[in-house]
Amino acid sequence: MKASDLFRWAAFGCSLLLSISLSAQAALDLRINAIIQDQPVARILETIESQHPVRFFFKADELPTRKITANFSDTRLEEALNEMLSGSTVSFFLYREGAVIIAPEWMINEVFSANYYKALEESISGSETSREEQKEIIIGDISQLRPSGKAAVSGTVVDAESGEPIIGATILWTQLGSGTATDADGAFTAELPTGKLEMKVQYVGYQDMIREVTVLSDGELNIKLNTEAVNLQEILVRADAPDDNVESAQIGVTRLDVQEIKKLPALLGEVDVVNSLLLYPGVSTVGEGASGFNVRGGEVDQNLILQDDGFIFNVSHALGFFSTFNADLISNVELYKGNIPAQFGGRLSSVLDVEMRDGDYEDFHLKGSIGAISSKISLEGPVIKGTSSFIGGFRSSYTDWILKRIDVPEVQKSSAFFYDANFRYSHRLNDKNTLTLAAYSAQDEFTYNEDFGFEYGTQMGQLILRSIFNDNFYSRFSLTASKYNSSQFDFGGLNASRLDNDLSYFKFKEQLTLTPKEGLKLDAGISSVLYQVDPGSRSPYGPESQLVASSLEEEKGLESAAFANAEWEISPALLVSAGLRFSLYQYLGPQTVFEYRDGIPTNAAAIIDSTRYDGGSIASYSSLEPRISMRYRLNASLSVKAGYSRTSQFINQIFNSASPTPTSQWQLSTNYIQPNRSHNMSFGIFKNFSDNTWETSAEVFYRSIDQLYDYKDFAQLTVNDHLETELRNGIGRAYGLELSVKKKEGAVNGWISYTYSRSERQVEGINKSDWYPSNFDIPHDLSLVVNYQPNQRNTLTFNFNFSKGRPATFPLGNYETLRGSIIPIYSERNQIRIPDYHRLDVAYTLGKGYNKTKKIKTSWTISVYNVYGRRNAFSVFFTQGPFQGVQANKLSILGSAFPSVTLNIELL
Amino acid sequence: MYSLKNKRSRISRIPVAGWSGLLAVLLLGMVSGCLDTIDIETPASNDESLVIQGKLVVADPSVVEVKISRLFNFTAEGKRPVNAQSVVLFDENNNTINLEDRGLGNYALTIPANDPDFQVSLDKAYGIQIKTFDGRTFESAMEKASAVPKIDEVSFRIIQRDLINAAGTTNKVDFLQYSVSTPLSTSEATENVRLGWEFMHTFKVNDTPIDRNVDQKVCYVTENLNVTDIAVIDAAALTADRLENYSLYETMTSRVYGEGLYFTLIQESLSENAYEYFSQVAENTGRTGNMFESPPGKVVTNLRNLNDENDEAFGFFYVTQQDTIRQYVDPALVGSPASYCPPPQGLLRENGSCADALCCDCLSVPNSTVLRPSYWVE
Repeated sequence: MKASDLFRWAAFGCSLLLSISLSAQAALDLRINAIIQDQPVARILETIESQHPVRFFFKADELPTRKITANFSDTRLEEALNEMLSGSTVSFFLYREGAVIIAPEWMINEVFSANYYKALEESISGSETSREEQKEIIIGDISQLRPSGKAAVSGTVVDAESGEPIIGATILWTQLGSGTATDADGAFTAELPTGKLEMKVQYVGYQDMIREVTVLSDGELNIKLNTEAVNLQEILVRADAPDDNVESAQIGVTRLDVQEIKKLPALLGEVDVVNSLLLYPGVSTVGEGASGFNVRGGEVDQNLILQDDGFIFNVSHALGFFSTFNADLISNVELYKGNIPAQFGGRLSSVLDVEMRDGDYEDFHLKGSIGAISSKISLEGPVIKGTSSFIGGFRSSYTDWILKRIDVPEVQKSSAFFYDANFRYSHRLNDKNTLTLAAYSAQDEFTYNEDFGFEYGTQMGQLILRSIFNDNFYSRFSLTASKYNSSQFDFGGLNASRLDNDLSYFKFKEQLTLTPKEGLKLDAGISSVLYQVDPGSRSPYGPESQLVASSLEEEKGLESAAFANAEWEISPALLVSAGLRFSLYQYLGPQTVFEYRDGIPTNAAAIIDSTRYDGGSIASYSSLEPRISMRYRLNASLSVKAGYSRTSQFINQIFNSASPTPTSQWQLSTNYIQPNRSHNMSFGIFKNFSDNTWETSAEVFYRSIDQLYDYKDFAQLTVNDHLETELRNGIGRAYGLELSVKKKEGAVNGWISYTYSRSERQVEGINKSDWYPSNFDIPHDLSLVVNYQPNQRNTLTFNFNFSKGRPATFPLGNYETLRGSIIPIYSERNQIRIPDYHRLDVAYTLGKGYNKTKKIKTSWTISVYNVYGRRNAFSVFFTQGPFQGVQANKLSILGSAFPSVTLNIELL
Repeated sequence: MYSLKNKRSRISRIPVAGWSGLLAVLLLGMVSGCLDTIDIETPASNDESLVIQGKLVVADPSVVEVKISRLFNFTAEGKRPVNAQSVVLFDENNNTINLEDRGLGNYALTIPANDPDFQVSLDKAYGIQIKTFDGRTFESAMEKASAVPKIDEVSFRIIQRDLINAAGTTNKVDFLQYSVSTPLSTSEATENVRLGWEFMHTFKVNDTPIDRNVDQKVCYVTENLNVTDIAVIDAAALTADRLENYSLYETMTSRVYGEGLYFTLIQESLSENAYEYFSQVAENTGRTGNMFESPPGKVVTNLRNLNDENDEAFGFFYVTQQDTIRQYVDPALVGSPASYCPPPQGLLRENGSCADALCCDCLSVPNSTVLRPSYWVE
């Protein structure tokens, strides 16, 4: 009899006990009558059970193998058992009413924990009506109960229909007040006390599963979640388990809920991942239309942006109003803004990790949406049912028809276009290995009044192999090749030009994950990235151009890293995640390197010689980067966390402004341009209320940057072969406080977040070498999001933003030229701020219908961006006034309310 | 007035304008955008730094002019001219000549070609020295002029531009577009010359006095054009050896063209340092203040206090050679605009005062004369 069979048998036996009550001693005193002829012990026990009110618990392979022949006539059960088990190492004891445990003697002599007995009791007292559920959720074997009363449970959470692993699903053990989340393969592990537990499994877009689970011993638990029949309007942001903010070791992590993003009011109805991030503490922007985002006082290019394992160097469509991520194809979005785990590197400030999802392995789905300026469509389904799947999505703008209808000649002669496309094929090679091939392409094109134009785009291909060696040992291997290119055009005149630059890279990464025991998780791996950067070439454009062509030689850099990280639950209260990353960067030839007088690249005139490197390493930098994050749980709903990380950055975007443009070139570290490095520290306190319905947190952070650069006045940054002469080295610091209160559930839910953040730098030769605010120093940033959801189908969402105006450099004085022109004299950099920014948006979402059988489902989102028409300053500039010399002017681009309607269609 | 700022600007400015334009288009900013004047509290500048601007035009006769002032801030009512104890032009051989005080911080001197005391030529470098009454001495770096290419032609043509009126309606409006044809190099130079341009026009006006004591006159009024923009080109960065009908300046046709107008183009050579100075000035004056712009900076200067390096001065002294060309614009060729006077709104305001000083007395405005310019041929 197998253990599982035993359990089923035991469960059946439980029903017999419902109506029979015996004292414990009475069980062993039970008189039995039976004539046994050459029967195995197990069979005899079954027979006894069938005739008498007693149950036996045993493991078949531990019973004596010999067959028994006996005649029991009014024999006490105890005597009968002694006879059957004589000569073996197996003994028995009476547990309670009619339950007899048969087990090895050594085990019986152990001190059994309370959990053991609890589990035993629950298995005995289980009711007939719950048996069917128990069949699915009973874990382990009663015979393998460990004396410690604990059991290691591992398993997966998958989509019930497609079988696709669900990443980030939360498994909460209600009585324990703790939980865990599934990893990239949908897997989880947990060490649980044996006995009966209530389990709650959640993931956005899926029905919650709340079940009772009986844990008997180590075992597997594979969970299939069903999708919601209607929009999960009630769910807001899910960060792992309901109490993950209190429980997890990592500090400063934000997980976005893709469904939630779709509900937020959006400019022209275009759902956007990056702009949604701005509603969370510590994430800010220098203004509407800015490319990228700033995290905790960091620059835009200090964010590592990942789509699966590939770097994305530009996430902006149409400048920064929309991002290149198609929300319909995203599985998971995480932002590490505080302490960056060791498996990530190469940026100082944050990591935005966007996981794309596999297609459905079982059924086809077609989705689409129609918005004011763009539409998108996605299709997914099986290639080989249950084995391989695909998902593809395409999004494209169609702004030209709008532009042509605007009664402004310059606009009518302009065009703007963008698209992005994703395709992903996943193949389950076997039970242990899944191969994914992914392709991504995005492009923006723009011309203005036949005068100038821009275009930029990303192409990327990835291969990802996920392997499961065993329940505790995983591997993720990836290869990525990508190219980002940008061009800008000036169409007219003698200087008509085309300026191109691009960045390509090839990357591999191998990451192993091992959970040798409950409470300990080890990650280790290596990665290497070969960068090839074309820093810029300018060429004449059009027949009238008389420009002298110029170009720079391609640059190469190799960034390699080895990393290891351990997450160790030292005690139920103390959880530590500690890691180490070693980075080695090499600036590679061929390249010509200038030599400067006194070795200092002050200006072009200081060039005294040059050296030609045909290949090999020209300069090399290494960096040992410890990372540690700790959580100490003060009680079930309160914890404190602290973190420290050392980070380095070997590639930067060159822009001398508050925001880069997508055509700002990327620059590798060279022998003159040093890598940027920083120390990052954070501390936080996290408290949940009302059964994790309310989350509150307060975090403080400090970043010390011991190497950065700014630009000298009137720096020439394009097609400059001595770019280092335009830079000024310095140091930086960022510090602040983040406060957040979130209500996750209920008809009215939402969150409010406030960030006080300063970002300053000290650079030789700028502002008298004193500390000064960086271009993205936004001291105060407040976001309020309120959802009102009277029922599952209707949602009304408001969000309000306030932020302090960004720093700017304003004129303090003037002088008049010989011809009468007024020339402004400017203050030191960033000493004054533009007006504060605030805005209110509102959106109403009519979700999909309740009818599950309907094949075509539609939903609508109606939103108004900038409800009260706040004229926020896009730019502040000065003109010559009649008397006082200079007049300040504010230009607001979004100076009125922007309504939009988006129709979403889903073919199931 | 409308000017093709971008086309004359340095290449590095184009992307900034471009992103702004992109934003305007993508967000339909032309219909939703708003421009407001705002009050921003900026700390008043207490900077007592001197501003010294000087220019030596090598010609026959050569002319040197220097303007001295202090910085003025938003609330200052005056331009804060500074009188100097002495202003001296010197050459590389330490020959010197004093400039004449023209008042209000303006100093100038005309130096004949054969002046026995001070020779001005293209092959020499020059500087200026200013001594102030508070004992400070400022001196410029030595500057040398390049020969300026002779302009072949300045021409104009009528083009139509779309303008939006106050009601938001787009209208086609006649513009005059002036273009220049000129070589970019001279026989003396081995490479193209960096050039700067200044524009002015002189128009004829028959005034219509309302005061019986004022005689009716014909005046010739000269105005500098496009003073808020800096028109320079780094011809050394171009492959072409000449400009052909290169558009320099556009303006709407108006009643200044009603009785005849001369457009004057002054082309001057710029040294590399002077070109850098004007380029930086252009960057500072052409700013739009958006987030994609580089921060403004301190414009280079070639002036310094000889006794105190921390006493910064603003401004620049440069030496140039100029070539001037004029083009008469016949009213008949530009649609015969109405004569300048009387003004279309009438000569008198409701309170009986003159609504247009030029029409009430054409000599009452600056740079107006009843003497017909020597070049004026109708």
